[in-house]
Amino acid sequence: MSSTAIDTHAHGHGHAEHHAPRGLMRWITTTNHKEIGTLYLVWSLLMLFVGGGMAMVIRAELFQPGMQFVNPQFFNSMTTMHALIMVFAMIMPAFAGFANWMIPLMIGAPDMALPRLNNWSFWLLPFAVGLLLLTLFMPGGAPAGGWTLYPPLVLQTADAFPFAVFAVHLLGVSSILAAINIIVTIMNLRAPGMTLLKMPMFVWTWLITAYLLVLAMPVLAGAVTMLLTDRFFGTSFFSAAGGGDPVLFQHIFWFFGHPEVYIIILPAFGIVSEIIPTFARKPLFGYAAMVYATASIAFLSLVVWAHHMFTAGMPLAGQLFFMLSTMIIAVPTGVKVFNWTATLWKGSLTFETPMLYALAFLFLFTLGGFSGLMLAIVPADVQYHDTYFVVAHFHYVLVPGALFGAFGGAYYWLPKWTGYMYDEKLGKLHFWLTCIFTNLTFFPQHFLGLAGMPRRIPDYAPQFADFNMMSSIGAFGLGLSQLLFVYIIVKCVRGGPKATAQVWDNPAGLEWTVPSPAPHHTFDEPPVIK
Amino acid sequence: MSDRALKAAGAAQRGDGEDAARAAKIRRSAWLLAGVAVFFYVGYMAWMVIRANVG
Repeated sequence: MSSTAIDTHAHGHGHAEHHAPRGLMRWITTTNHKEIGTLYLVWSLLMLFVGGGMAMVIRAELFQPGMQFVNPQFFNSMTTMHALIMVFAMIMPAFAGFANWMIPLMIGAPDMALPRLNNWSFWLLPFAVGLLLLTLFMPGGAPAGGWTLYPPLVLQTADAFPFAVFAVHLLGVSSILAAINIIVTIMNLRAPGMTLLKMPMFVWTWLITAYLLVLAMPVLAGAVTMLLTDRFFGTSFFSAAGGGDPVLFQHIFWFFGHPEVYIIILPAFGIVSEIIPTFARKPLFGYAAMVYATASIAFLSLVVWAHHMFTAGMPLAGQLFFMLSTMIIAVPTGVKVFNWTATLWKGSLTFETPMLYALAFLFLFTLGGFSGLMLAIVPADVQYHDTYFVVAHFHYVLVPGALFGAFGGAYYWLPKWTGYMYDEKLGKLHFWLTCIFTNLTFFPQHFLGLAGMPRRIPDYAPQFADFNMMSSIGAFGLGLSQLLFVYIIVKCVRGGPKATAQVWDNPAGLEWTVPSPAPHHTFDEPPVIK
Repeated sequence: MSDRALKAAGAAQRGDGEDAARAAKIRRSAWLLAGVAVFFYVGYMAWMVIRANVG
C-alpha cells in the first residue's frame, strides 16, 4: 500500500450476537465475512490432512521398490484424488478464507458485498468434496486417470465418473461465486479515498486472481461437461473413433490449468507482499511495479497453456510461441522477486515466524520458478516430460510457494483473528520442521526425474530406491509436522498473551486499526483515507 | 450483516438514496460477471459443436 494517512474512528463495536442463531445453525446460516473466512480456513486445514493422508499412502508405497501396501488401481486413485483435493478443496479455499477475513478489513468495508452469496459459496464446498470422496467407496473405485482427467483414459472410470464430474462442476461454481463476490466487493465497497493504487497488495492480487477465476473455471466446466456427453450421450468431442480429438481436451484443460497455477500462487504473492514490509520495517519497494507485474503475470498465464503439451505434437511455430511466452513470464516474476529483495535491503529485519515463511517462500518459490524455466525449453521438456522432475517442479511452486504463503499469512493474522499471540517458539519450530522436510521430500525428486523415473507409477527400478526412500521419509516428517501447526492454532485460540490492535511493530493497513480480535462488525462507518 | 450493509439492503429494496444506487450497481456487476462465466461455459461448448459440424 502506498503511504496513506488514515483517519480512523468508530471502527468496531460489540453488538455481535444480536439475533444471531447459536450452535451449528450459526455457522450454517452466517453471512458474516469473518465467520465465513473462519469456515473456509478450518475447512482447508481439514482438507490438508485428507489430501496429505493420500500423499502418505503414495509415499509409503514408493518407500521401496516393489508393491508394498496398495494395488496399482488404488495408487492411481490416490495420486488423482490427492491432487484434486489439494488444489480445489484445500489451497483455493484457504486463500478464499484469507480473502473473506482480510479484504473487507483492508479496504474499510463492513462486509463482503453479497453476504448470502458468500455463505452459499462456502457451503457448496463440503457437498462437492463429499461427492468426490464418496467415489472412493464406489464399485470400480475413484477416478484414477490423473487430476488432468485426460480422455480416453478417464472415460474408463467406472461408476464414479459422473459423480466426479458433478463434483468438479460444484467446486467450479463455488469458486466462481466467491470470485464474483470478491470483485464486486473491491470495486464497490472501498473506503472513501482508497483509490485502486492505494489498495494493499493482497487486495490487488486477489482482484486479479478473481478475474482469472471467472475466465478460467468455466472452461474447465465446459471441458468436463463435454467429457460427460461423450460418455453418456453419444457425442465424440474427444473420441478419435467418432471424428473427435483427444488432444483437443488437453488444450481446453490447460487453458484452464495454467491460469489455475496463478490462481493459486497470486494470493500467496499478496500475503508475502504484506509480510515482508512489516518485518523489514520499510514500505514495499516499487508498489506500482508490483501491481503491473501481477497483472502481466495473469495476462501471460492465459497464453502459455500448450507448454504442458510439447510432447503431444504441435507445429514448430506453436512450440516456439509457447516456449517464448512461458519464458516471458519470468520477467514480471523477476520484477516481483527483485522488489521483495529490495524491500529487505537495508531494512531493520526481524525474523518472526511469518517472516521466516516469507523468506523461505522467496528462495524456494524462485527455485521452483527456475525448474519451470528448464521445463519451458522444448528440447529439454521432451526429456523431462512425465518424469519426477515435473513432480518436483510443481511441488516446489505449490508447497514452498502457495502453502508457505498460507502458513505465513496464518501466523501473520492469527493474533488479529483470535486476540492472542501464538507461541513464537513453537511457530519457529513448525517453520524449521516444515522447511527441512519439504526440501527432503521434493529436492531428491529432481534427481529421480533427471535419471528418468516416470511419474504416476506405484513401482520403480531399484536404482531409484535411495532417493525415493529419502523423499518418503521427508514426506512422513512433513505430514507429522503439521500436527504441531494444529496444536499451535488450538493453543492460540484458547488463550495466551493478549495481542494489541497493531500486533506487530507499526504495520501498514486498515486491518491494524481495529482491535484484536477484530469485532464481529467493523467499519460500520467507513474510515476516510487521506 | 453489519448496520451499513443492512441499511444498504433496506435502501435498495425501497429504491432510495446513494446506498440503493450502490446496491443496484453491485447487483448489476455481479450478474454481468456471472453472465461472462456462463458465456465462456456455454460458448466454448457451442463453438466445439459448430466447429465439428463445419469441419
